[in-house]
Parts: sequence; structure tokens; C-alpha cells
Amino acid sequence: MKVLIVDDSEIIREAIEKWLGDFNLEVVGRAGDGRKALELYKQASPDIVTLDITMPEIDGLSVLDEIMKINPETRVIIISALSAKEIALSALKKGARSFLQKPFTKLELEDVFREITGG
Amino acid sequence: MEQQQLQIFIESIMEYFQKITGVGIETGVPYLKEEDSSVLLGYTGVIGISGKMRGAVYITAEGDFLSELLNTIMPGMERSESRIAGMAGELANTIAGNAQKVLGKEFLISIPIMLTSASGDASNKLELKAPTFVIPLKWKNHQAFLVVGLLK
Repeated sequence: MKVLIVDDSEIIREAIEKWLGDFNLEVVGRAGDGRKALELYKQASPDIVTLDITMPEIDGLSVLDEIMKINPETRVIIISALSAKEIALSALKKGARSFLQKPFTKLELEDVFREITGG
Repeated sequence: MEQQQLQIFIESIMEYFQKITGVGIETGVPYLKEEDSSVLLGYTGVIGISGKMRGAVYITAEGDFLSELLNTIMPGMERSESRIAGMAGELANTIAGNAQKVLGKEFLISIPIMLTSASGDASNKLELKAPTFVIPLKWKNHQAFLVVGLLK
């Protein structure tokens, strides 16, 4: 399965990639803002996208809307520090499969991926 | 800003360190920053706040604090200047974002702005117009400050 990692923090992008090392996944791109995320999404057609919300250029919820228009089967996992319930509910309503709140541990990330990939 | 609201940020940073590093962070007694004083260490991650409140939340620490935190999260990761500054930004982002749980979705946070002692006179960039509270922090042997200046 192909994965696109989107977060404006380089540390979080690297942590996600490293922590997913045990899964049989191919990281096809890493983006630090919403515009780059959409470019890479269109180029690489990933099966899974990890998506931050608060980002430069285009915010994550708008990126999610675009992804859902292009391919609603894409499994989007929102990974954000925002903790208002309404934001998580809004993301899930828009089509995200899961919402992981920062700070998160390796185990929590793995649990979400196991659920998403059925692995 | 009410004392109860300040407590949200204190709890948020305590939970962060307990969960991510397994070592609790000690918080000192908060105090009101004097107008012309500055509370800035080597690296500062700033989050602008808008919506139902206005102002900023920032975390300021020395490189060794952030470097050790980075190493705890990602052992072996190369500790460049940009990653250390990025750690300050990510920490501030998480603490401010987590406060939304209590303050609600109208508590809007910006993307982090990172300042370093090399960015010139950072104190000019952090002139907050709101009464500003400083919370001293101690993690392992390292000192840092959480600074919260918000107006309703």
C-alpha cells in the first residue's frame, strides 16, 4: 500500500515514517503544506494519507475535501493537536477514516494503521 | 485570562511529557511578566491565537532541553539546528492545540513560528498586548518557560 505523509513538522513526518517501518507500506511522498500535499496526492495516488490540519497554504480539512472529491476510497488518517470534539467529528463526516490526536506514541500510531489496513 | 484557563495549558504540558517521555515535567509557580522584561531562551516556538481569544502561547528553551526531548522521541535522529527549533514549534503547537479540548473550536491556533537567539531581537517579535503569564518548567535538569498571553 502507498502512503503519503502530510505534516508541517519535519519531526512528525520522520517519526511517522520510521514508526511505520514494520508495516508493508511504501511511503510515496512527504509534504509540509497543503498545496504540496495535493500535488503529491495527484501524482502518486496513495491508498493512505496521514494528514495534519493546521498547515501553511491550505489547511488539512480543505485538503481532505479535495482528496474525497478525487477518490473517496482513500484512507485518510487525521493526525492533529487540535482537540475540540467538533473538529474530529467534522473530519470523520468529511470522509476521514480515523483521528489520532497529538501527542501520540508509536503504539497508538500502529494501532490506527492496523485498523486501517486490516493488518 | 482566568486562572482556570492558565491551568489548561499547565495540564496540557504535564500530560505531554508524561505520555511522550515517561518523565514528568515540574511546573513552578506562574507569575505575571513585567511589561519590559523578556523571557526568552535559545529556541522559542510561538503559536498565535485568534478567534474567541487573541494573543500567543510560546515555549522557550535551550538547545540541550529540546535536543534531549528530540532524542527521547526519535533516538538517533540527527539533531540539526532546524530540527531543534522545529521541536520547540511542535511542542508549542501540541500544547496550544490540546487546550482546544476545554476552550473549544473557536480557540484558533496558527502554524508555529520558530525564533532562535540567532533570529535577531526576538523579544521585539514577542511583544504581547495581553497580560502575560510565565510558567517556569523543569524537565530532568533542564529549564524552560511556557508563556501565555491571551485576551478575551
